Amino acid sequence: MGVALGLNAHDIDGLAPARVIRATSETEVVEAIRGANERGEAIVVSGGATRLSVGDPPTRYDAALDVSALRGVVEYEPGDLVATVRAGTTLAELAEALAARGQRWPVEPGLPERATVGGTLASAAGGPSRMRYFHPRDWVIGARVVLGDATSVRSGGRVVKNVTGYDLTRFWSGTFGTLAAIVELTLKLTAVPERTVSLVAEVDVPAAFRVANELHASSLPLDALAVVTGEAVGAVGARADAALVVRLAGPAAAVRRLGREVRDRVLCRDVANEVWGRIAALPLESNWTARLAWPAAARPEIEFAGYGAVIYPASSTAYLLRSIDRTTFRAVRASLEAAGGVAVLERASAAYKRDAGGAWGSPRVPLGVAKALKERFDPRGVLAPGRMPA
Amino acid sequence: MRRLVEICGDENVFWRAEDLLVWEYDAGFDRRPPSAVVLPGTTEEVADVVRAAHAEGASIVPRGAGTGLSGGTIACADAIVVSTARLRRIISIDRVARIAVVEPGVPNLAVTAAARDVGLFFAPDPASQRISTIGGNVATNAGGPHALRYGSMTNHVLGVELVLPTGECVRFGGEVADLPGYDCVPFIVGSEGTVGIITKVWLRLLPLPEDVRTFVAVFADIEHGARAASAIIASGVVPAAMEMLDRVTIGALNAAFEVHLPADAGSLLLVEVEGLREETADWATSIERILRKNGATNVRSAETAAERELLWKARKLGYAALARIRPNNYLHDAVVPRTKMPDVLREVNAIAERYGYVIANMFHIGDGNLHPVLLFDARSQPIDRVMEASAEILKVAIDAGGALSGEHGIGLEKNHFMFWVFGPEDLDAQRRGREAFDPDGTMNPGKVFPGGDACADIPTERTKRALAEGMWV
Repeated sequence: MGVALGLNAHDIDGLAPARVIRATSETEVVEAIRGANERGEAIVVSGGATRLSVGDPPTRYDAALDVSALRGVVEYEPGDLVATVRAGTTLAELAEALAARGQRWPVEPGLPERATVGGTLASAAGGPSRMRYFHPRDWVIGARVVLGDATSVRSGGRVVKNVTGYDLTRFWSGTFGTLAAIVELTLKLTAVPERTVSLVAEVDVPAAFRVANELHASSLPLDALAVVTGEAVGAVGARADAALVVRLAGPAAAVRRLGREVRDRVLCRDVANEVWGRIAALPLESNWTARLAWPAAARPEIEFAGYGAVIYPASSTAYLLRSIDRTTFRAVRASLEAAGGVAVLERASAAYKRDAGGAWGSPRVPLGVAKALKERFDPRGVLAPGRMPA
Repeated sequence: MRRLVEICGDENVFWRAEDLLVWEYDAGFDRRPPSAVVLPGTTEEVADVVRAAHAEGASIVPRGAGTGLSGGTIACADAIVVSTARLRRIISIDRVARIAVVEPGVPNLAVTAAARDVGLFFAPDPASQRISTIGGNVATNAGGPHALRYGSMTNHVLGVELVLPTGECVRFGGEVADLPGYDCVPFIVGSEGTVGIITKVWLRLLPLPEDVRTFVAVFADIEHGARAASAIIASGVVPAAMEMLDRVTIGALNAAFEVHLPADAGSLLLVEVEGLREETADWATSIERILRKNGATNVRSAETAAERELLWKARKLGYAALARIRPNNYLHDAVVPRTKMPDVLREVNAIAERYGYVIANMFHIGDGNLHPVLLFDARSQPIDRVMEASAEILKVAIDAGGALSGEHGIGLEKNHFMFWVFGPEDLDAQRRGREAFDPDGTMNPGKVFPGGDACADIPTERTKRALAEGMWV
C-alpha cells in the first residue's frame, strides 16, 4: 500500500485530505477502511476523480482512498457477454479489452481515460448512452465491495438474470462511496454495432428542441440525442445558437434508413463519432455544473440561447455549464422541485453549494430509511460523511 | 380483527377457517393458513392496516395473484395476508415520458394492453402475465422470454411507493432519474414483500417495434439446440427472446393446442427479433445462418401475426399443457452462464433419468434461465423425492457458476439453499439492507434468508433444510 502526501487531484471543493492511500488490492481496501474505523477517520473513495466533487463536501476528510490502481480484467467470457473487472479499471481500458471481441459496456460517462467502472456505478453517471441503454446499473450484474465497517461482501453473480436474494449490486449505484467501497464489478456486455454514424444540425434553440421532440415522438431507435447550446456549441465544432447532435447505430442498412429519416426532418451534416466524447466531457470539465432533470411534461422555461448547456431531451436532463448567481439558481431549483424535478450542483465551490442550499436540494428519499442504511452499512460514519443526505 | 373491519369494511376481511382455505397456498407446494386476510382498497387503507398490525406486533404477508412458485406468499408466523386485489387502477399512461403509473394489483398484461393503445409496450412478460400482478412482478423481479433483450423488472421499474412496516407511506424514484438520496428501487425490486407493501409503481414503457420476426428451428436433440443458442448469443446478435422446448414439451403442446410443432423434433428453438425492418432482416439472416450451421434440420418463420401469437400462446400456456402427462410438476428456475448451457442440460436430464422422472425443459435459453420441470403424480410419488432431485439440479447449476433463481424468487422454497451461493458476510449485508426497512422483521417473515424458524411448522420445511445442508460439502 503506497501512501503519499495530499495531491490536488483528491481535493474536494478546496478541501484537501491529510493523506492519500493508494490501494492495489481488496485486502488493502479492507485494511484502509478498518484503520479508519479504528482511528475514527473519515475517508473518501476515489477512482478517476472525474465526479469526486459531486455531492456535498464531506464534513471531515482525513484520507482519500484511491482505488484507481485496483484495475484490470479479472475474467472475460465473450460467449456469455459478461466480464468481471476491478473497480479502478478505466472505461478506456475496458473498451480496449472488449473491442478485441467486438463487444462493449454500453455506458458513456465521459472522460473514459480517467473515469473508472466503479466510479461510474457509484456516482450513477449520466451521459449520451442513457437514451438507449438507460442507467449504468442496468449493465451491472455482480459486485464485490468493502462496507464501511471493513466487511468484504459479494452480491449478484455472473448470470444476466438473477433474483437470488436482495440486489445489493444495483443498490450500490448512486451511493457515492458513502456505504461501501466498490472493488470489483461483473458487467453485462453488448456487441459493438456494425455501423455507427453521427450527425449534427446547426440550428437555433427552438428548432433544436422542436426537432428533438419530433425525433423522440417518431419512436425511431436513435442511439443518442443531445442539444448543445451557447458557448458549448464550439466544442462540437458547430457555429450556431445550438447544435442538435444525433447518433445512429446498428446494421448498415438500418443506419442508412435512420439517416434518411433524420435528414428528412432537419438539415444536417456528418460529424466524427468522437463528438460524443466531447459532449460527455463538458459537464465534467466545467468549473461549475448543475444537473437539472424534470418530468417530461414540465420542461423548465429556461432561455438556453447564448447560454452554455448540454441537454439530453429524451432523458429530460440538462447540464448547465455556466455559473449563474445563487439567487437565480435557488429560484430555478425551487421551480424544478415544485414540478417534481431536481437541480443538483455537480460542480461548484463549497461556498456556492452552501449558499444555494446544498448540492442536492431537497432529498427525495425518506430520511429515516436513508439514516438506517447509513448506520447499518457504515456504522461509524467513516465513508464520506455528509456527502449524501442521510 | 375488529380494527381491520373498521378500516376495510366487513366484506374485505376474512378470518373464518373456511374462508382462509384459498389463501393458504400459492402456485408452489407449501401450505399454511394465514390468521386473517384483508383486502384494502386504497393506499391509506393499506397504511392503516399495516399500522394496526404493527401496534399488535402482528406479521404481514403482501400478496398479489398468488401465482408465485417459491412460496413467497405463504403466511408463516400466523401472519395477516394483505391482498392487493382491490388496488388495480392504471393511474396514468404517459406517451411522451413513456411511463405507466399503476397500482400493484394490476395484472401484467393489462399494462401492455393499455400501453399498446399509444404505441408503447411493457417489456417484462412472465408466462403468468394474464393473471400475475405488477406488485408481485416487482417483488420477485419477474422476467419472461423478452427479458433476454430488455431485462427483468429491475430494468423497468423507475419508482415505487411503499408502505413501510410502521405504516409510513414513502416513495423512492419516480419519473425523474437520479433523485437526491439513496435510490432504493433496485433493492425493493426482488425483495419478495419483506421491506413493505408496494402501493404504486412507475414503469418504463418502450416504443412498439416496427417489425417482429419469429422463427422456429428444429434440432435432433437438446444439445444441438443448446449449442446453436450459445452460438447466437456469442455472435453478438441479441434476439428479443429465445426459448427452448424439448421433445416432452413439444408433445404436450401439440396435444393441447393446434400448434403443429414438428413431433419428431428432439428440441426446438423459438427465436424472435424486433426492431426496424432493416434490423430484423439483418439479424434474421445472421441467426438463420447460425442455426443451420449448428445443426438445425429445419427453420421456418411465423408468416402471420396470428401464427406468431399461437406460438407464444403455446409457449406461455405450456406449463399447463404438461398436466396432460402427469398431474403434478415441480420446477426450479436456476440460471447458468450461457456458455455452460449444453453441459448443464446434459447433467440435468441425467439427474431426472436417475430418479426416474419424466422431465420437460421449456425455458429461456437465451439468458441461461433453466426451467427443468419434473413431472410426477403426487398421489403415488412422494414430494420429498421430487424435491431431492430438484435440489440436485440446483446444485449442478450453482457449481456451474449459476444462481438459484432467475425470476421466480427464493421465498420459502429455496431460502435454505442461499448459503450455497453466499457466505455469511454476504447474507448479513443483505440482512442489514432489509433491516433498514423492517427492523422488527414483521414483513413476510421466514422468507429469503436461510436459518429462521418462522416457517418451521410447514411439512416440507425439514426436507428442504436437510437437502440444503446434506449437499453442502
